[in-house]
Amino acid sequence: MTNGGPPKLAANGLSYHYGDLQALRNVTLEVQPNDLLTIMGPTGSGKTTLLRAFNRLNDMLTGTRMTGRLDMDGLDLYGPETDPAEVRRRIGMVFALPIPLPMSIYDNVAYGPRLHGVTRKAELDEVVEKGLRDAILWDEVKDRLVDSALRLSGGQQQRLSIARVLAVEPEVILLDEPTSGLDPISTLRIEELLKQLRERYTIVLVTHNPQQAARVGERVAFFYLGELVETGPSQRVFTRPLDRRTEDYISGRFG
Amino acid sequence: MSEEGRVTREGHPKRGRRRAGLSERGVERVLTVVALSAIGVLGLITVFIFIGGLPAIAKTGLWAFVSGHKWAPGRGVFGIFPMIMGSLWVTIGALAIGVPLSLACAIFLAEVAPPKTARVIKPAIELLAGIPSVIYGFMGLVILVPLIRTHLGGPGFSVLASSVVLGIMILPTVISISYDAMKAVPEAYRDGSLALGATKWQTIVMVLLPAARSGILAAIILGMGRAIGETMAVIMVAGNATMVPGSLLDPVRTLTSNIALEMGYAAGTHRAALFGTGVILFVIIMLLSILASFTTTARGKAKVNPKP
Repeated sequence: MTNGGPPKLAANGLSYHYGDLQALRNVTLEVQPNDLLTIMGPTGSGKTTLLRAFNRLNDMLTGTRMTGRLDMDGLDLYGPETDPAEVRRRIGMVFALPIPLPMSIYDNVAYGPRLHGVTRKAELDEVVEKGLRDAILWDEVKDRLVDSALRLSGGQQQRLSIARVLAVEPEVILLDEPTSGLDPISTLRIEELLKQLRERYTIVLVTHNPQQAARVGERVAFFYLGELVETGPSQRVFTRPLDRRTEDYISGRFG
Repeated sequence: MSEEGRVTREGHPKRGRRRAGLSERGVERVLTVVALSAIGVLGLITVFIFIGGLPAIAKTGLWAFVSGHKWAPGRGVFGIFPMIMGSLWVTIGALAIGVPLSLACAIFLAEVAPPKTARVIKPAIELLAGIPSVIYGFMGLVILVPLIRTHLGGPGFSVLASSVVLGIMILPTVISISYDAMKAVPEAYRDGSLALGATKWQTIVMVLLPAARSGILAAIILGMGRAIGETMAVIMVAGNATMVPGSLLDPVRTLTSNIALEMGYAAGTHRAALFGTGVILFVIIMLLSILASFTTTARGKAKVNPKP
């Protein structure tokens, strides 16, 4: 799928330690523009660490050590010139548990645009509506935008989190097990949503559920104990896995 | 319940149940009595102050007592307006100095400082609360008062000196309670905000402080209570003149100082008037707490439903 340019996201020889615990081992991975990559693996395989490293959210932690290189469009994400806040704007992140900020639905979506200097009400209204429509939430909340976001259901809160990310117009969206706390119907909605969004964004979805990876992913990567075991088109990985561990995982022998 | 316990109970149903019931009820009663006695003490204090103070207020007339500018116990003239204004000025001054410092410090400790630094600084700040107030007063007396006298003019004993001393005294209360409030904000809110490209500072101002708002307000209210109630340190640096202060450099007497300074030798109506001062102080503090708890809940509700 290479189209000549640099990959949207790339990890090169990435290793990550929390104190004595090694969470990632020499991971090399590329994500092409408009790709939808699904990273699957059992708990503790380093999937979340990889996302948080791309998003520079682990900057806040102390006692961690990172070696290797992370790039976006060929530019070093941890370079001295790179502004972490700008990285996080361009690489949106949706967490496992929905995080409605303690404010109204409207303010949740407007939060990002306001941070980046949008102040005109008409413009904000437009951004909020677009974000909510793109996250397929608009029809459910359009009459109660002033309500606290904490009153939404879990599935709605997660779509609100996605709307909030979309409102800052990122180039990449990282989703860290976005459906792990949701019921099957809300899960299907989010999966549908991801399929629509992949036309406009580069998406990396982390899941511990191989079925979800099979349903959603174009391309999958399997992580085990901090190691990238194998990666390839979803069709191929699920029908003819190259590695024994992948086979064990997708056939449900662990994880 | 363990299997063994159930067997015993079934074997001796009456005895088992009665025993458990007796000790259960006994504990409940004791706890109820202890809890009620706290309220009882509060009630007794209230009654005692009002009985002591009301005759003087009645004799002078409530309005004359509260709004009278002259306090001359020797001539039987009791007006506590200067002291009410004194307490007000000093408290506002203390909050103006103490609250911004405290919030800045709490934000630094909770969000900016490396955890190791915070672990050293926080106990040190809490230690400040343990220093007797007379020490604060003494420091104010020997350092602050001369400093104000030489550099800003006036007698030095002043609203400003009292405000600075009180502002420092409320630091530990306000800092540690607002620090706890900020620490109690779920980590997820920080992540959620940062992940949208917010800087650390934007996250603090737009998410963290609003989320910790009720705790921070509680901290400020407790600090205010401390500032209004503090007596000794204020007596030492305030000058205690019974006049309405015209500027920050004028001497001032607070309601609490008024009671403490004169109670030792007061008798008759004078003594009752001091109790009356206590009544007014009591009412003011009550009003402030009611107002404070009202604003906390009202603002809490308003913030969840801001206009779109």
